[in-house]
Amino acid sequence: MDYLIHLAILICIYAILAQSLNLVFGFTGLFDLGHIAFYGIGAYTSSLLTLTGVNFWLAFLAGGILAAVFGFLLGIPTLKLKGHFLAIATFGFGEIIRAVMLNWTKLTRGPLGLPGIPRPLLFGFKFSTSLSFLILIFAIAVILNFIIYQFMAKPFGRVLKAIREDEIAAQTLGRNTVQYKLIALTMGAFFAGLAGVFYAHYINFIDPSTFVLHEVVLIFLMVIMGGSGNFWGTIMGAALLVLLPEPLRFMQLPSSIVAPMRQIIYALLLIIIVIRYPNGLIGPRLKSSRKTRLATAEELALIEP
Amino acid sequence: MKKLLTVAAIFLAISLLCGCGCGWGQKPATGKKLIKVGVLSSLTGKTMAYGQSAQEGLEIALAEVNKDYDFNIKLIYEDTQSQPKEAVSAANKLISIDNVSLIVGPILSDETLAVAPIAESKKRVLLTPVASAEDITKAGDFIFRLREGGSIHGKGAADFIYKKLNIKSSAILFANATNSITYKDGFENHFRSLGGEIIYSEGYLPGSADFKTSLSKIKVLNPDALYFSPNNSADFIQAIQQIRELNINTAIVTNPFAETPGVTETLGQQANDIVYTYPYFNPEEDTGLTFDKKLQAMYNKKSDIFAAYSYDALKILAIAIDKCGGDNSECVKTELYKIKDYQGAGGNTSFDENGDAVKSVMLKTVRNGQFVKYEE
Repeated sequence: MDYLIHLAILICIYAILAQSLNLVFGFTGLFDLGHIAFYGIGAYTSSLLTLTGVNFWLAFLAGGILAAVFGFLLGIPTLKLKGHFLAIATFGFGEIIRAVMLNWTKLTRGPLGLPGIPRPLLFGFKFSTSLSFLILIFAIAVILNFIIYQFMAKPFGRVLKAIREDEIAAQTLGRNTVQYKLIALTMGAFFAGLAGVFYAHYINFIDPSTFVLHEVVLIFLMVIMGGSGNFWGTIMGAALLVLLPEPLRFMQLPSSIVAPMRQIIYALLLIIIVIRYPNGLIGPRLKSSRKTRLATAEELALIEP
Repeated sequence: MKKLLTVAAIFLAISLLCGCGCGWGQKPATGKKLIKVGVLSSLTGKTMAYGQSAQEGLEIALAEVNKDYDFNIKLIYEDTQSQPKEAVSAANKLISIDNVSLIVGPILSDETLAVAPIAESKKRVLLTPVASAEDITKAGDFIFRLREGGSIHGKGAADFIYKKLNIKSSAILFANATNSITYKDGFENHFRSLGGEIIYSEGYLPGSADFKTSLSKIKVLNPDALYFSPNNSADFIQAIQQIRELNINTAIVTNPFAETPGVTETLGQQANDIVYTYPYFNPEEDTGLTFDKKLQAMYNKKSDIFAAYSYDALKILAIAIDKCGGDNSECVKTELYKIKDYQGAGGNTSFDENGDAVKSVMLKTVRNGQFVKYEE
């Protein structure tokens, strides 16, 4: 049934987006509050391109690449900042991008948004039904997640984790941490952009109101509640947060309070889950104890620089 | 694995609990045919007040329809949370799970635009009571709206300034949001086509409390008229206060957001002589008045377009359902196109070939703390 297919599609899109944030925040420890901007850049770029007749797959790549470029540009000045300051700086970036979406009306039509974004086209086949789109996005989600997983399994991933755990230790072992963080941010931006492309081409309408702080918090929840830094955990987190409010729709309540009650219960459920699973649904593979931090440092020393 | 099972168990428990129905819903009278109508409304989120009003209008209409006709309507409410993405999920649920063929709502234009392709491809009738964006006109054969498009208001304002006030140049201040831009574009295009000149046009971010920068520029230019298009009453109040503070002497014409509860109380004398366009809707006459009385009786609120138009929406759907003997969407769609001169709480309604309501606008103004019709 279409409703379930719709939820499955959302889970796939969010799985890519959450995984991209996992790369930046879960693995590398960069508190990127502006991550939603890359999602938005991908969405707007590919929408504008396909609306002027460009082939979908080119637009798809363009969306990801432009998002990556912005990730890189954002990284250069901000990656020297730590913790809260990085959060504020990236949040500021997110707001700038949203302001551009809202005010550059000649390009983006501002708050009117872009309606009528076409569905993807492959060798003449248009993915116009929900089921066909689900198959496409599932395949894409598997491929992209696989790529991210491969990066994580290699030494590159271990360096990122080391940076998250103790950046100074990683530096003393000869790693150019700023360079690694920049690569991680750029990659995260790239995948977020790709997720944005599919979001736009599924809902067929985007406007700046989708890309706000509220959404960023949602993705952070997916990463954290699934288990920061854990590949499978993030995917589970995406599924959890997409599915959590849905059973509440079936609650029979007096119509005057049905909507606010659903929101209250949703919030209560979130709190209960976080209390019950403080390390996320799966929990991070490496616990942040002194013993494992030494172990990480040892591992780094064994990697050829 | 154990954790996964626990989570799955929690899910199942919630679904069963809710699905079995904590059943406080309405019980249909036995014997009558039951028709389900979906409702997409922003019951939470930034436009919650409009969603509430709409809900109240719908409930009043529901009681009447279930009494007057030989079928019973059951309303299935889904909250869009004032966001297009949520509206899409809600619409999908109504269409695939509840299998409704008729939907009232959404209230917001961007939600309507996101949901319209789904309703259109699944051949369900979507009737939005108040969404005003231009693009909705072309959104589909099954998409209807009870509201006139926002640009008609802009045109009415342009006619007023150019022809009645005989002013040939105007400044524009508008909120950067879907509906306010529709009004502004309608004004700007028509004013220019009449031969008028726009000497200044600036958009602001909704929610900005400070308009002094734009207003100072406007003061320097000293326009004879200012078309102000806000998208909520709080901004409207702030801007008018600042205009009076800066002593800008100009004819102020604005859009329907001027008439919101609380505006005259807060602005007092400062609101005098502001002229605005309003959907032709008169709670002081006939059907409008009857509805206003009912709303006061049940919810102790004055009538507004959200309640009145939603009321009309359900009653118009009921007429179509009655003619069709059911809720077959093709039949209802055809019947809706045939609706001409329906006299309702929101004035006189006829649908044109695009499914837009052909409604006129009226000019109103503020006099001594009252919203009144504009007389020469």
